[in-house]
Parts: sequence; C-alpha cells; structure tokens
Amino acid sequence: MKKIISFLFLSLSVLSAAYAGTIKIVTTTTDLKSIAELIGGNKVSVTSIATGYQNPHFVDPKPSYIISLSNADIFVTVGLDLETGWSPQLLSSSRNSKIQKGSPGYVDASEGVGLLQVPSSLNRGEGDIHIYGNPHYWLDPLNGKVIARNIANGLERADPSNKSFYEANLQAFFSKLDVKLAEWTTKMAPFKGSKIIAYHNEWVYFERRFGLQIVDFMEPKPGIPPSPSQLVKVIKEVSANKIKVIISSPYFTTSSSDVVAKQTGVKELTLATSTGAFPSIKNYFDLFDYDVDQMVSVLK
Amino acid sequence: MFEMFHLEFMVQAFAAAVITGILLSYMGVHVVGRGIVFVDLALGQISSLGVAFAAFIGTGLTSIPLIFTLAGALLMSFINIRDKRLKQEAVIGILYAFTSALTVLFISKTAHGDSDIQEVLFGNILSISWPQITTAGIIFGSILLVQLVFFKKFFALTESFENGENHLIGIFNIWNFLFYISIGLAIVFAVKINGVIPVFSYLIIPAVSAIMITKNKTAVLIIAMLISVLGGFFGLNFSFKYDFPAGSSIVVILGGIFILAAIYKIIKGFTEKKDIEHG
Repeated sequence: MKKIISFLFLSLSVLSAAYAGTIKIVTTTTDLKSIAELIGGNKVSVTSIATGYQNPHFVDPKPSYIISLSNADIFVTVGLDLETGWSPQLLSSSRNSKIQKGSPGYVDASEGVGLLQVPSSLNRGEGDIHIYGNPHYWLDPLNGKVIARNIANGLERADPSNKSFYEANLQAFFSKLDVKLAEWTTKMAPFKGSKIIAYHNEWVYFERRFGLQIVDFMEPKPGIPPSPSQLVKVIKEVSANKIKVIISSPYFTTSSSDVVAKQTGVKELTLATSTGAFPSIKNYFDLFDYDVDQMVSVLK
Repeated sequence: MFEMFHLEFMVQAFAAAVITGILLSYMGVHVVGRGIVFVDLALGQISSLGVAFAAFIGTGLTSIPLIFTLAGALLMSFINIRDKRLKQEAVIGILYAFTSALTVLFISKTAHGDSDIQEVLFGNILSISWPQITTAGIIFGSILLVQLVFFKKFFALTESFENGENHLIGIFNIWNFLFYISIGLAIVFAVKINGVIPVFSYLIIPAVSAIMITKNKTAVLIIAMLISVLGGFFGLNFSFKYDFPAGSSIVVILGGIFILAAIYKIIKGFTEKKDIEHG
C-alpha cells in the first residue's frame, strides 16, 4: 500500500515538474479544453472537469476537481448558468484567487456571443430556466471563434510575453475553422430547410447555422420528461411533416423516441454535444465532422 | 493517511463529516431501538417533496422543505398504533411511497425540477464552507444538548418501544414529540450537507454495528459515535486517494465497518456456543 502511495506521489511530482512553466488551464467542458489546447499549444496544460458524454448541467464533484482548480492559472467556463449547479461551489472551495469571477484568470467563453432565446419574461412554468439565453452556443462552429478569442485574451493576460504566439495560433484556428465551416455547409446544403424533431432544446445554434428546422421537442418544456400527450403530438407532427429524424444526446434515454420511431418509422440519431462524446471525436473540429456526417447519412 | 488535511476543503469536509456523524449516530441508536429505520428516508423524501413544491410554485426553496419536514416529523410523532398486528414502520413506509409519488407528479410539471432536487438534497460535502459548518454545528450542538440533558427521558421512551410497551404512551407525549422534531431538524440539515444516502447510512450503520459489538448501553453510544468518525475519516481518505465522490465513499467505508462488526459477532457467537457446550 505504502509503495503504491509513494509511487503515486513520485509520479505526481515528476508530472508537475514536466509541466512546470506551462500555464495551467481548467475548463468546465471538453470543447473549451480542445479550443484552449489549440490556442495555447505547448505553452499550456489543460484539463476539463466534465467529460464529453456527460450532461454539463450535472456534474458530481470529486476531490481532484478542486485540487486542479486550486493549482490553475486560468479557469474557462461556458457560462450563462449552464454550470451553475456545480462550478461556483468548486471555484469557491478551490480558494484560488487567480481564477475567481472577476479575476484576470476567469474566462467566460460566452462573452460576445450572439445569444438566442433570451427570455423576454422570467416564467419558470414555461421552462425558461436559462435566464440569460440558451447556453448551448458552442454547437454553432462560428461561435467557436468567439470562444477562442476569449480564451486567447485570458492567456495573454496570464502570460503577456507569449502574446504573439497565442495570436498566431488564434489566426490559424480561425482559418482552419473557415475552411471546415465551408466544407460542413456544403455537405449540409442539400438538406436546407429539413424538418427534424429534437429531444432537448440544445440544438438551436446548430439548427440556425445549417438551416435546419426543428419542428418540436420530445420534452414538452425544456427539462420536463416527455409526457403521453407530447408523444401523441410529436407522432402527429412526424407524420404530417414527413419528418425523417429525431436527434438526441448521449445522456438522454431513447425510450420515448423509440415509441415515436415504432409508430412512424422515423429514424433516431444520437448526435455528439461535446468533444469526446464518442471515442472518435478528439477535438472541436471532429465534433462537427461527426454530427454533420451523421445528419447527412440520415437525411439522404 | 493524513496528507488530505493539507488541503483546506478536505479539512472542512472532515469537520462536516464529524459533526453530522456524531449527531446522527447518536440519534441512530434511538431510531434502531424504536424500529423506525425508514424514518430518515421518509423525512428525506418529505423534504424533496417540499423542494418539488417550492420549485413548482417558484418560491421558498429553503423554507418550504424545512416546514414540510417538521410537519412530517410532527405527524409521525402522533402515530401510535395499538393494533399489535401493525407496526409503525409500515405507516412510515406508506408515507415514503406516497410522498415519493407526489414529488414525481410535481417534478413532471416543473422545468428542471429534478436539478433543484439535486441541488438541495444531494448536498456536496466537498464544497462546504466554514459558515455552513458553523451553522450546522450550532444546530446539531443544540439538538445533542437537549438529548443529553434529558438523556434518561429519551432512553426510557426508546426502551418502551424496544420492550413493546409503546401502547402505554399517550397520543401526545412531549418527549416523543421532541424526539421527532430533533430527528426532523437533524435530517434536513444533514441531508443538505451530505445527501440522502450518506445520512441514512450515518443514522443506521454505526448504531447497528455498535449493537452487534456490545450489550452495554453506554458502550453502544460511544462505539457508534466512534464508528461514525472512523467512517468519515477513512471514507474521505478513500475519496481523496482514488478520486471518488465523497458521500458514496463514506457510505462504502461504513458498510465495510458493518461487515467487520458482523464477522466479529458471528465469531463471538461460535466461541460462546462452544463455551456453553464445553462448560
């Protein structure tokens, strides 16, 4: 036992020595991690708290999260109350003054994003718990640029001497994204205006970017599990509009979509909502490669 | 073994674990003696119902669960069954099922109601702050103080349940009432810090294990409290070393202690039997 522990400590200290001199970034989600790695290159070491297949609204805290936060130079959050259930508590437990809200090391990736579905009135009964707007904005690849800019700003505050390095990486990221976006848009172009059903209201940015049309959601209101009357409504809509697919995410059950699929023959598709949702999705670009290819294969 | 104490959040978690553990393991000896082990799950569920109701009407997320739980505790203190075929536990079980189902109904009409329940009921011991610990300490300390001052009264009551003489207690017995209020308060605040399953475990496992180890009443209390502290210490160590969620780690360690106590009891039973045969 003692040997194992001392080995662990030894490997920890070796690791931390190897990382000495790098900027330590902790992100809440894997998409932010992927972009931070692309901008920071070999000057940063990045860890993400949530995994790519987890619902980012719910994360069960573990000691390691607080430890990595307490050693972090930069903290990057999706923001807009996506992580309110867990990240503020972890941040305050870390007692790291560098990364508290308002400090230079705190990066809110949503800053400057053109938000959709900002509620005009606050009525919880309507399911509008996202009081600042829909927080799933990273699912529009163009918003990846805003995220990258915010992360680069954070890096330049923490490490001004390498500013030109981060700016160069940022420009490279922008150019690659432009090329990829053109590729994705071309692939999706034949299916512009396709009507689809979504499980949860998290695809609005994706929908707008690729000209899809989400007719309805499996959830009667965001966060409320499908009810019998909603299933009946969706089944009618699927038949009336000849809808081909219901899209969902890895962390929702498919049981109610199965019912609709059995009744109507509509296809069910589990798309990736974040980097790492499936083993083949290793970075932010892979995420859209995967989702676009999947969409194209069912809409054909 | 003590390296986790280099980190303040682990020290805070341990402080919180110790104060909840000591109070709950003490109350647990009463709960097990009275044969109402599901009282905690039922009260925890009534508290969830309060959260679901508060989320549904959109206000009172902290006050309504507290009011609901105390009302539930009050109701339970009035349960006094004279029919020998029925047990109090059965009525508590019914309350549990009824309030669980009612909670589901409320959640089904409230957006993200389940996340509210998560936030309030699955409190996380790793992100507790010193002011929260102080508040809990004051509340738990006062409950324990009342229990210790009227130690004899409360134990006489529990013994009457153990001996099946509870029908002799009137419908309204001030000590019975105080006991349920204490347990209601303890559970509401302990659940906020630790979550439902760790609280249930703290209440039941140390008491049952201690009863298996010794027959002496005072020794049962001391051993139960000791087990709760050991459970908190080794549980948090386990969580820290292997990076597991803290609450579940504590429960697993407490379960391990229970198994050890059970083995001890079995071995003791064998040797005593042998002694009788040989003697």
